[in-house]
Amino acid sequence: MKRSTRYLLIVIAIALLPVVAKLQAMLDPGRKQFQPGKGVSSVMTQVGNNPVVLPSQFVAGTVVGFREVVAGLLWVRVTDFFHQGNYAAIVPLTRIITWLDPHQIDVYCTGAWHLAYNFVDSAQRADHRYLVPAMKFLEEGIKNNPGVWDPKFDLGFTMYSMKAQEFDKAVYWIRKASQDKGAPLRLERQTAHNLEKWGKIDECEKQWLECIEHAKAALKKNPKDLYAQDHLTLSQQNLDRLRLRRALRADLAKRQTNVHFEATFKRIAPRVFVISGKANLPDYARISVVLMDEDYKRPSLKEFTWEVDPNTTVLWDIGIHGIVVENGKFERRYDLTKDVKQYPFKKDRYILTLTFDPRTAANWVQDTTGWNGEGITDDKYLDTSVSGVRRIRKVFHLKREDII
Amino acid sequence: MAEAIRTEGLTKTYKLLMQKEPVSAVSNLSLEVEEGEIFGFLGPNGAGKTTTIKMLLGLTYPTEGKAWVLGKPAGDIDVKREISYLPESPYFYDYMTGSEVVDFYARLFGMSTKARNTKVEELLKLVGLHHDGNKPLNQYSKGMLQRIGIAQALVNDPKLLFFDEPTSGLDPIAHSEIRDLILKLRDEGRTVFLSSHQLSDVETVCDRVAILNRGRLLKIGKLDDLLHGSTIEIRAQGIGNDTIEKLKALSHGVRSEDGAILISVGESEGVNHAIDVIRAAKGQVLSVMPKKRTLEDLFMEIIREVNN
Amino acid sequence: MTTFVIAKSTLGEALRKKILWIFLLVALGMIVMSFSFAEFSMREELTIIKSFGLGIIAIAGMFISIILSINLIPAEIERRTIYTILSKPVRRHEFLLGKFFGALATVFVNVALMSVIFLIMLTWKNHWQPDFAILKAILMIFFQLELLTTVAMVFSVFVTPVVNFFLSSGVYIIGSLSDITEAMARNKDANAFVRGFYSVIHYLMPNFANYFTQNPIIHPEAPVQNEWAYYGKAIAYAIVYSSILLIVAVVKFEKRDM
Repeated sequence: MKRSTRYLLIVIAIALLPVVAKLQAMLDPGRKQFQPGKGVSSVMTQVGNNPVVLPSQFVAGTVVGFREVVAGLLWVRVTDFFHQGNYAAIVPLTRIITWLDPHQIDVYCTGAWHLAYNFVDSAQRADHRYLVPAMKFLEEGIKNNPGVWDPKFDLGFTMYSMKAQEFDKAVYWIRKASQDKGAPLRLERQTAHNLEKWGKIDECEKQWLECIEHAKAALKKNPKDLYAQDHLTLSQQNLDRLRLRRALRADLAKRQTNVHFEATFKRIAPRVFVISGKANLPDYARISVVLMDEDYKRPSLKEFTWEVDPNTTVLWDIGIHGIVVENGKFERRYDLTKDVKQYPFKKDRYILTLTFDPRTAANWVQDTTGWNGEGITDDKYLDTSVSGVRRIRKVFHLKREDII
Repeated sequence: MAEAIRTEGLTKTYKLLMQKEPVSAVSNLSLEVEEGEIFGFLGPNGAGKTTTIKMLLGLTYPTEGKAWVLGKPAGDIDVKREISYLPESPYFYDYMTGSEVVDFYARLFGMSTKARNTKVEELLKLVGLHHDGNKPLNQYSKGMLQRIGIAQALVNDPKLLFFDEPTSGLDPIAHSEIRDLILKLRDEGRTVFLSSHQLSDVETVCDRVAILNRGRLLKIGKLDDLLHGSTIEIRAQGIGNDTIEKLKALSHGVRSEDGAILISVGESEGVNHAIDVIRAAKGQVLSVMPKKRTLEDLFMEIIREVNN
Repeated sequence: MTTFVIAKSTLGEALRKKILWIFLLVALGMIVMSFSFAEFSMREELTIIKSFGLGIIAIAGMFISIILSINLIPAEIERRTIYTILSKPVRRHEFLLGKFFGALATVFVNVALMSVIFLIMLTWKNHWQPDFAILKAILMIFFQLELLTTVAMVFSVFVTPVVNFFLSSGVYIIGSLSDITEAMARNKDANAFVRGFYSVIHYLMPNFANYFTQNPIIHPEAPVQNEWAYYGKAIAYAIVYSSILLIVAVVKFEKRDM
């Protein structure tokens, strides 16, 4: 090769260097959407007081860009822990996985579910303190996956509807989820159910009509669409039931039932107490029990952490976990001796609230009470603090000595 | 006659990491090889033979000096169409068959498919491998590999061939066949640059030789010229040490063998003088035999001289 | 033409190397094994399978590229096959480029084989609905390996295979740390020297992280803007960078004593 050719090649190589640098600068902004995870910084970080360290055998994978593979391997590990019942190990791993790959939707949903449901006491009662972290985790999942219905649905249904019984927020999120591409038709039905629980009967009816309309439209496109057929059938049935119930319950306000609610709290032994009482309600109506620190406020988290205040006490038996009324009576013994960690009782004062909320009652109970309690009254414990809703509520102010 | 190869002050030095002084592989080599001759290139191991060949082929660049091959600077791409090289213990891609190897090298010359096919068949026949052309090279013996090496060296009908130990590892029959082939190449007007340790082969086929040691050219010239001056060996007995001392002074050397004394003398005058000395000492002359000088003798002499 | 002849022989020889076949078979085995996770939901299963499959193709491809390329030139010199070739009318750069393209063709064949098996199995798992989007990720993996092959080949002109293995692996790891190098290059709290140092690494060293584009393939719900524009720039980057490296290799190889 002539010397001049060699020099020319060297000049060309040097001239191409700025081209390479420019191309790299052009690639950098776009690269982030292909690598949404936190990458190397996911290897070790701090979440509150909890150091989160990626096991060493996975570090190399994150470093050289195989985050999705590492995330997948960790997720397999999580299922092992699940089968072993080691829920405490699952949460940090779900945190790392979603850092490595924020598009792991199922990890967000499952991780939130673990938090909300699987930290339980000896009576399999979920630790309510983890509800807010669970919700926060799902919110993060929604932020990172804006067009995906799953985490929105889980937030609305699993968290707000089933756990917190805040039906306004439940409807908001489930409706949002139903509007995402690929969302199953059943989300529309869930919206209707939660509107009913919320007590918005007229809106509920409108929602059922919408469901029927959408089902028919889907069947027009594809008459063999089984999901659309189901959606049509179920929506039609639910609408008919709703209308029937409305007709049957139309005059409940005129023939209200006096609940004659009575309830006592009796401490039997340290951390052992009995709640009992009377309520003139149909069998299998449920009385919710909430026992918490007097100053308890649901925490507001800026970002997800699974750290909870170990000094907070919240016992949360609501909805289907409430005390069953049978023959006008209800009673439950609470033994919290084995669950010191979950119920530390560190504070001096507590509030025990017993509630009958007609919105969450079974259908046959609502046939007596009405959706929003229009069919009930009580001389002492009628609560109308929630607009449009008549609940039965008794509050006990307890001291620590009353419980421990 | 035109020159096939010419070098002027060709030098190659290597700077090794741990050594202060550079190592000289070839030092100030100037030689010429005529077209149409078989040129022998000799030297002990490490003399610089292969380095020289590499410089002539453009595989290695000289530190100093110049070289021309077929009238063009060494390494010129066009010249490579007219030359070929068979290295010592050649290695080829052993997944290929014999015919594929020859075909591969033919492709490097841009030969057409038809021309290649003809050439491959012709060359395999020439080197005696026409029955083994479809076997992969990893099933070939050393001798067969050497033959394939020769075949690839002939694929372009070269004017100048560089052979580095072409008979290495061959049986006597193959050895002889290669020698005959080299002679045939010369008869066809080709030039052969033969680097070899097989002094008997060199002596048989070469027209001119050069002897190299430690990178330096020690001797170059026609074989006949280099080997002229044979010796005469006198065998005698019954002579004492005094006589032996006298004989040493007027001969190339004196040694004893099987109870007799052997005296090497340069020319016939010296023979008569030596015989006179033996007879004067009442010794017996058993025989007087002329001894021709071999290339090996020359080689050993030169190397010994340099080493001393 | 000469380059093609040498490329073809390089491919032929490489495809017969046992170690490459071992890597390939292990990778194929791992791909097949990754389909054994049956206890997840369908979407989870597909997520894991795609993550593993693409990861295995990338990792196996990386090892194949490095092991193949570190010996490209040294093996030819050690076995002295290069002597009989360069003594023919073969220019040095033709030889070098021929070896390079032959190695690249080998990498392509390996990646293609793994990809075909993976795609078939994925299609089977997905109820015979093929997901050709996977091919986009594989295209990027190929160009990443192309760049890595070039790096290893250039080093093979300068250093021994053992040194080359560590050098090439090191360059690959550093080139995969784009998050860090970019962040450090832009870090206003760092001094100018540190920023300059990381800028050089980020903008001038080969950047392999540009080709980790599997996330939106694994999670198709995640929207990506200007996807094909990105791929085009990444391919252009690989080609331009490889050209620079090949020029360096050619210039060095021209003056190298055999």
